[in-house]
Parts: sequence; C-alpha cells; structure tokens
Amino acid sequence: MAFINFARREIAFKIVYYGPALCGKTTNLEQIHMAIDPTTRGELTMLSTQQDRTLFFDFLPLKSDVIKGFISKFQLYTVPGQNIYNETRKLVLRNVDGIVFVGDSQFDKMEENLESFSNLETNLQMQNDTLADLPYLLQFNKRDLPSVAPAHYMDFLLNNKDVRMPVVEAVATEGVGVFETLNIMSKMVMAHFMKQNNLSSNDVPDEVCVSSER
Amino acid sequence: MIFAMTHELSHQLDTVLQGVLDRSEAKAIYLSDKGGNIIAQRSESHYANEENMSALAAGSFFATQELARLIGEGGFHCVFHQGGNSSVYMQSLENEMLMLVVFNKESNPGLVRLYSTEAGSTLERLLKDEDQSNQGMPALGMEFTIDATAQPFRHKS
Repeated sequence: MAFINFARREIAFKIVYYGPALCGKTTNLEQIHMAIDPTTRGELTMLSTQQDRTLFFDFLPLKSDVIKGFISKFQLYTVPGQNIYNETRKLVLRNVDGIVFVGDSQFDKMEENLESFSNLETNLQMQNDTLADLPYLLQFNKRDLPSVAPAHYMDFLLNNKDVRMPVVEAVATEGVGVFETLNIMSKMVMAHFMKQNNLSSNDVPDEVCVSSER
Repeated sequence: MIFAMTHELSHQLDTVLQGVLDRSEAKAIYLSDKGGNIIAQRSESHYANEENMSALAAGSFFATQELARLIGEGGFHCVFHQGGNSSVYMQSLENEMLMLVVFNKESNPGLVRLYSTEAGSTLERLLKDEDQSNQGMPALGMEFTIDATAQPFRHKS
C-alpha cells in the first residue's frame, strides 16, 4: 500500500527482495548502500545471526525526486531465506508495493528457487494479494559462477506465466545488475501506483508499465 | 490501495501527538502504519534514523502479535522496552496503526502509557473519519508526473 503525505509532499513505496536462502538478497542491499549517492539513502539496518544469515529483515530507506514535486521514498526490505522464518516473511510482505525475486542461478539451486517462488505466492495469498496484481521482477543472480543454469531455462521455470515479467541477470557481489534491478523495480512500482489510482502516467516509459505478453 | 494524508489530517494528528509529548515529557513520538511508514511525528530530540526505527518497531511489534496468538490472546495492545537511559513504548491502534513513544528518565512508563492511551482513541477516531471521507486520489484532483528521462537512482559520482 503506497502512502502519500500531501503535507510533507512525500510518497512512500515498499519493495521486498524475496528468494531462497543465500541467493544474494542482502548483498543487493549492501551494494546499493555502498554505491548509491549518499544523499539519497539512509542507514542500512541488518538483523543477522552470527553466521550473517538474515534473522528478521534488512532495511534500507532510499529517496528520489523522480516524481515531480514530491519526494519519493522507497523502503527496501529483504526477507529471511531460511524456511524456519516463514512467519517473519509474512510480516515483511505486509503492505508490499513491489517484489524483486532473487533467484540463485546455480543448477543445484533450481528446486530451492521454485520452492521459494511458490512460498511467495502462498504467503501473498494469505494476505489476499497475488502476483498477478503486484509489480514484480526476477533477478537471476550469481551469473559469474561456473555451474549456472541458462537464463532461458530459469525463465522457463520461474517466468512461465500468462504475463512475462522483466528479468535482470546479475552478479550482486560485484554490483552487476543491482542498480538495473532497483531502477526497473522502482519504475514498475510507480507505474502501478499511477495506473491503480487513475493518475497521470503518460510520462512513464512503456517498458515498465506493462510486461510483454508471451 | 493507498493511504493519502491531507494537510488537515496531518495537522490534527500532529496536535494530538504534541499533546502526548508535552504532557508525558517524552522525547519523540511516531505514528506509523503496519508497514513501518511514518504517518506523523513530533519530537524534542532528533534521531538520525527515524525511518529505520519505525520499520524495526513495526516489525517487532507485529511479530509479538503472533506470540499473543500462541498464548490464546487476540493480540497485545502495547509493548514496553526498558533501557538504561532511553526506553520505548509501543501501542497498537485500529487499522493496524502503531504509536511509538521514545522517552528517557525524565519521564516514566506510567505517564507515557496514560497519555498514550488517551491519545490513542482520538487518533483512531481521526483516522477512521479520514478513511470514511477519503474517496480516493482522483477526488483530490492530483496529477503526478514522472520524470521519464531520469533513473530514480544513480551511482555516487
């Protein structure tokens, strides 16, 4: 649920990075925090275990001036990848405006990717949301590793729906694809916000308004 | 779905929050939604990372609702974390809003709870009235324009 404050001229959106354990969700936020213009970001809060596994969530607030006359705030969250923290994932998904699904490109992680994607759909259903009504994109991460599945194979597994969503190939540890993911997701969320509320959206680029049909 | 806050509602919420702040001698008070968005705030002390505070408070408070369910409660109305110098008090409102009060030794939990509870019902009424009168964005006659030539986020130079 987007939040708009006319008094402060602010609009806030919530973006959640979802995916299986150790797929690179936290790394995405770390790279953004490290590389982005410091004037546009807040502090990165990470709630991790001693083994650097996400316990609750990671949180990074960003702001942009892309909507004229307003400060657009984007709150980036990650969910814990480990299955035992599913209740936490549900909490983080509340009021979500857009989802980045981070898939692990290694061949032996395909089952975990599918499980996590299915878990995302289930958790959204439990709060009366559905991926069909939410902007989301797929990031195929770890493309630098030796045993990765072809992107078109991952696309077949995770993006085989009536409406095909954008895909970004990434090496999050090196920052490759991280900003591309963030920028596409941010524009998708804003375009969805405009469309949902019948607002002026003539300036929104077509490629982020509607996904191409298969 | 969207939560739109008008100037009038913002002023009304600020007035209620300032009242709690003054009477309880707390340091800061935030009203946020269940997603951690700060809807209104008043503070005597500046905290650098208020958005992070609000996100953490919302996350931790709503996690305790599951704990409440496990012991047969519908939910906890308030949660209090006491520190050596600074403490926080969190109270749930209708529509899954959350009030977060930060205070130190100059105040005490009893005062904070008393005035927060009083203010809670006023805040609930204000938010409910706004909810009923809010006919959506088009009724507000607003138009938004996205700068299509710019990327929302850029690398630091």
